[in-house]
Amino acid sequence: MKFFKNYPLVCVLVLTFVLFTAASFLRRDLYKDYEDSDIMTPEIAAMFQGIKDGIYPWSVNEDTMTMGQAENAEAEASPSGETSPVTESKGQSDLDHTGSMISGNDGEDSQETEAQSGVSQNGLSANNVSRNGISGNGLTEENAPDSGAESEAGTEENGEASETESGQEDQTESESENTEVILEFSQVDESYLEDALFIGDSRTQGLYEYGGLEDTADFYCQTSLTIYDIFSKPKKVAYLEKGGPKITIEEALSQKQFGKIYLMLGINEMGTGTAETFLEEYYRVVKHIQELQPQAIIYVQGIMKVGAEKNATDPIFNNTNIEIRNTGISMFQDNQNIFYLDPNEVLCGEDGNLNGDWTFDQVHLKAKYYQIWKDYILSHAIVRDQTS
Amino acid sequence: MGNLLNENSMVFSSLEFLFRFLPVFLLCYIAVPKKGRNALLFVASIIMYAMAEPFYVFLLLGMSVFNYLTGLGLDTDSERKRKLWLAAGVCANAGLLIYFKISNAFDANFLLPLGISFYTFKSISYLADVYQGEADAEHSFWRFGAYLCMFPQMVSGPIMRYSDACEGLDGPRLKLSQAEEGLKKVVLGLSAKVLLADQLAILWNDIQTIGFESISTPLAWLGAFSYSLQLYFDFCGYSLIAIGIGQMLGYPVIRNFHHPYAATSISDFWRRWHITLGSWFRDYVYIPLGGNRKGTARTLLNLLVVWVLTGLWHGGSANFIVWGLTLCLFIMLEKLFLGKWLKKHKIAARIYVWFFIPLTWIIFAITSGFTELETYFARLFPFFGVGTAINSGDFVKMISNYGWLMAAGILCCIPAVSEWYQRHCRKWYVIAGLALLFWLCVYRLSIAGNNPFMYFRF
Repeated sequence: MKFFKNYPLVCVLVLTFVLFTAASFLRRDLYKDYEDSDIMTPEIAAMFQGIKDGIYPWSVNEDTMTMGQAENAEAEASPSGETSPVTESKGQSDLDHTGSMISGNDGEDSQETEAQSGVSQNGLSANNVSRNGISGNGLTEENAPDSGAESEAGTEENGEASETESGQEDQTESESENTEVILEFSQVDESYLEDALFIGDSRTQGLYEYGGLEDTADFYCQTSLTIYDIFSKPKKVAYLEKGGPKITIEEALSQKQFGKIYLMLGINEMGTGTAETFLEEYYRVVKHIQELQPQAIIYVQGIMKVGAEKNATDPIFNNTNIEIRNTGISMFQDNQNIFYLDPNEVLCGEDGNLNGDWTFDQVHLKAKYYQIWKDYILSHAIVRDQTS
Repeated sequence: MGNLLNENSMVFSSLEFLFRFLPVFLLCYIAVPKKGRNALLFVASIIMYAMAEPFYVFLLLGMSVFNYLTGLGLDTDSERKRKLWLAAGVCANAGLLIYFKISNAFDANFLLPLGISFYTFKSISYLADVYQGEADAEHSFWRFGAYLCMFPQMVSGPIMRYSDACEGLDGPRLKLSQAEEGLKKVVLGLSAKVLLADQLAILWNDIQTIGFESISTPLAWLGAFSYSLQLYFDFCGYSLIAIGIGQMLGYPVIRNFHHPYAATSISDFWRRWHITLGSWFRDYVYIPLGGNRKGTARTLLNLLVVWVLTGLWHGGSANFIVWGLTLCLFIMLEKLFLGKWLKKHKIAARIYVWFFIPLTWIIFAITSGFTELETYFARLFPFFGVGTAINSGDFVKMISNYGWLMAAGILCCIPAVSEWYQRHCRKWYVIAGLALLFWLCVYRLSIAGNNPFMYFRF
């Protein structure tokens, strides 16, 4: 007791350390996903990472349960949009804010490390394939077979461009009414974006902050937003009135109709899973948006590339990987309601990397270059009234 | 594990250091008999250094032997020999430092050996002290090696004098009361680094991401203040950890920072900031050159030499020289007349410090060329029409995101707060607070560390 009185901090730190180590040791079952094989990493690190994700030492281990449920869901073949993919949730890392001017909104989750996701991902892809096969999702009948084909193309190493084109033509033919005219991009002014919605991560957030569109369009975006955060594991990033309470995108899209919806997502997911799992989820998102917003023109944008330096040094966040995903995204266009835009056309240099002078961190545009992205969007607009 | 290299072996704010290297070392340090402690400190420091710098560890070993022998060489009665030994020792250490600094200035990929700026300065101070008779030459290699290479001071100081180190080198056996006080400093330093500096650093990064040419003037100022706080907590926090570990090992507490932002002039600021570096330049450059005893012109010249060298010590690129010269200019002006005026106007003096010091830190921070630096100053003083704020409300969001961090930082700069801590540091609630801070740091390090994508969230 006297010892404690004389050296309280030493005692408290040693005691808490023993306590925490014991806790993380006894609940290894909970934290095994976070474990690091490196003996230089203390055991408690795994526990703290778990706590970050809301897994406390006293939590019930739901691991086996969720797995069982997922299998059930698969068996029942109930592909409702809400069934959450098994991924995410585990093995997340943090450092919100980092590396983005956007920061702030304490993004709650994030990347998984590749190793960690690898495990869960396998389960997922199986899951999703079946889901896609059934597709439907309440899509109109004429779309259903087509979508299946498309997603397959997406899955199988993105097929070949010609293949999909023909696929699209088929669709155009099969669809009646206003299909004779092939819609073409035209130049419009900013008022075009008055009924537009942008969904994206920190890059789109940058467009919001520095593109001068804050009073024109709506932006449902947040740093580190992923495609999974839209419907599968919805984050509250949407709103009905600017400055109003935050709701999920699903809720917002059910209550408010938009004329155009621009998507740019995918850079945060690159350390997670594979291009296939990403594209499957992307496809589901696009289709679900279409259900909720039947009148909207949906623009799927290619993921903005990274700078040459990062491209050369980063095994994951490089332009080769981005291109693979962009090819997949481009296949979702049907030239009727869904159009593919690739801002990289104007943002990248001849070497195919994001212009070096236009970025500090190799990932985000410097503020004044968002204008170029915006101009690209305005010069690649689909105006339906003219053509029909 | 497989790989023995561990670049975190000397990074205090890493889980590896806090939960592996430090506790293992401390247990060994307690376990070995008193005689073996200096050898253990030396060997353990070399091992940790080798894990971070497998190549340059040989340079460190070589310099340890060289300086040890030079010290012995100085231990002679022949004045001529003593002069030669001193000249050889100083030239070798300074030459080595200059060589690496210049190489680094011309090729940014050429990295400086870890801690070279500090161990060469320690060596020179040791040799000069032995030459001047202020310290006896060290005859035990273990003792000398422990002084020069001790891991707490390797990465970023403080630059401890040999005479101060002696108390630890032959001091009484490790005391638990020292461990308790040292641990408090470690926790405080760690908190300053992890909870304040590392978080504030994101704001500066955000500003660079936006691009200097596009920030609003309020944001430019916010950036300057936030960077000033960030740098202080980063460096002061790191120093405090080093001093705390030193204290745990039985070394005396040396002050490296003394409420710099409470200074009333820029000279005063630099007497309070990185004190061991300032006193090094005072004792081994300024005073040997004649200090202020040889007339005003000579004093100014001596100041110029000191500040050009201080600038170069911090980095090889041109902005560091401009930074040193700017500080030199202020200090000269204060010596000539400004100082007297500032003494009479206490409030104006504070405003003066809080206005100009952040500006000098901006010169310090922007290493990417003078165009960038000019742009930043044009945004700070938007009379030149360079750049435009793309989003004039950008600072509002930054304040809402980082305002509380800056407020906490400013609070920690107030001497009264630190005095309150000193008075209450034995109270249970302070102890509980420190323990909480420690685990908060570990929490932050856990969720950020071990994560290869730490900076990859967009």
